[in-house]
Amino acid sequence: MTDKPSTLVLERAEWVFKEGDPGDSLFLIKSGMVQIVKRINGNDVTLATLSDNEVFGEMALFSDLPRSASAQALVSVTLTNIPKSFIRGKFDASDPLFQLGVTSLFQFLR
Amino acid sequence: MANIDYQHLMQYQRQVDEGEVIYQPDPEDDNGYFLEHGIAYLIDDEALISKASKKAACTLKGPVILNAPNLILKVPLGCWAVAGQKSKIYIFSADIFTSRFKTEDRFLTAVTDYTIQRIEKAKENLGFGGTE
Repeated sequence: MTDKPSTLVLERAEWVFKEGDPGDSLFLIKSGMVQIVKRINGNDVTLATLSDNEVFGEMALFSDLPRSASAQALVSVTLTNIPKSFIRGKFDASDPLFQLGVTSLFQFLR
Repeated sequence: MANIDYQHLMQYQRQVDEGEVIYQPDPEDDNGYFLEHGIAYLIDDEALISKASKKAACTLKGPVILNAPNLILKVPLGCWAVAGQKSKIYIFSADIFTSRFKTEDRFLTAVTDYTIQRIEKAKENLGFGGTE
């Protein structure tokens, strides 16, 4: 696994990650559309459709739990893959009140 | 986070008991509310205060700024915060927090901006929608 952000290009219908995969990075959409899908009672339910400049997989930042949903390219997409270790390093070096603010915000989405 | 010193937020202390209201909707109250230890519940209906543990729209665990979205979005308190147990609440001036809630890093900026957007949509019932 690389320590620095990298570009990831996927074609339509390719999976960025699947439910149950390790949550070792988060993703920024540079272009294209991604759907977040969760398997519920045997059916795939779309939780969100995301596009340019939106972030997903960010819960990995503060959790070692596996992915709670899957992410799939709806069209050809270009993503920035941001390794958890990379962004955690920046987070840990930031102002303690910034850290507290971010961890507080994440609690509102649990 | 374990060794972080939050003394800047510990200006005024208030002791609350389980089930006690920490704050309520108030357009004039622009203070910050910090819970270092314990649990608090956010509810969107005053009638639910006595059932907050079961009907909470959000359950928050210390260390946490209970009204962080309000401070960041600069929107007034639009819900009730109820103590889940006997706790100390620290009340601080919003400027102390907002002046330091910033980063130069574009990835952290993207994550925080998007997280705020999601809270605005997902928790509109708590009064976080409708920024200035």
